[in-house]
Amino acid sequence: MTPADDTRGSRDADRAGAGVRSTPSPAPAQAGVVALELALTLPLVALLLVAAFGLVGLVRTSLVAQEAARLGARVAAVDDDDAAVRRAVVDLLGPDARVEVGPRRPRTVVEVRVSVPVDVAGLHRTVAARSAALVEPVVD
Amino acid sequence: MGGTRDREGGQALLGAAVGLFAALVLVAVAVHVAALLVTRARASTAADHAALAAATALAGPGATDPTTAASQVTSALDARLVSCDCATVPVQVTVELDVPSPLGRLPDAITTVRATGHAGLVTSPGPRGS
Repeated sequence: MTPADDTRGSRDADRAGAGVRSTPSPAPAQAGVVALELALTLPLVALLLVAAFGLVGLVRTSLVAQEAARLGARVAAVDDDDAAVRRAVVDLLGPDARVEVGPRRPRTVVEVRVSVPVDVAGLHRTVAARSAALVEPVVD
Repeated sequence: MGGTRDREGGQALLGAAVGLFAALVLVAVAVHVAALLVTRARASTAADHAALAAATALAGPGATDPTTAASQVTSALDARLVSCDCATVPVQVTVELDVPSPLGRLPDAITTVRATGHAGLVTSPGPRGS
């Protein structure tokens, strides 16, 4: 490589470097489009996030309601008192919970339905669950 | 120049469509997983209560048919009784439940939940371990 080649090479490199450094800023119209796209996308992303958190809350409440119904049915199977069933459910679901205990006789299936109000992303919904168990006979 | 702008517009539209489709699929999968979780809890409850009913029917006072007792409980919970190993205690009951899915028709492996419950009798009158 001659000194002339070397000089030309460094000049090319300078030009390339200068090209990278002096990237032209987007035209005002293009910047406006980017801002518009961002303005349209951000609410969608926010909506998706709110929906995701709402779904998680709904599933959590559904699982707790299901567990409360299971416990209520179990208590109903071994205890004659409806108040005991309500206590067991309210302990899990809170005081807003509604409990319905079906009729029961020994060796028949008793059904327990529970429901609780819940806020999902600002919307008032009711989560319901039910369970059933065979009423156990009284042993003397 | 107009052609370049058109091409860029088309690419943006394609990107938006793909993104929207991906978001919809993600939401549908999330809803299905949520339904799967709740159905799993319901199936577990049905299996446990059916097993308790079968054990009570088999070994409790005034013994009756344990399979019928288990079947009554599973029917009340909209579940299917798959098997009832109820000849002797401890009994083992397996039940099945369908997952309500927003994704339409899917393979049984991800739309059916199966759970097994066991129940026995404590024959020793004293506390456990004594």
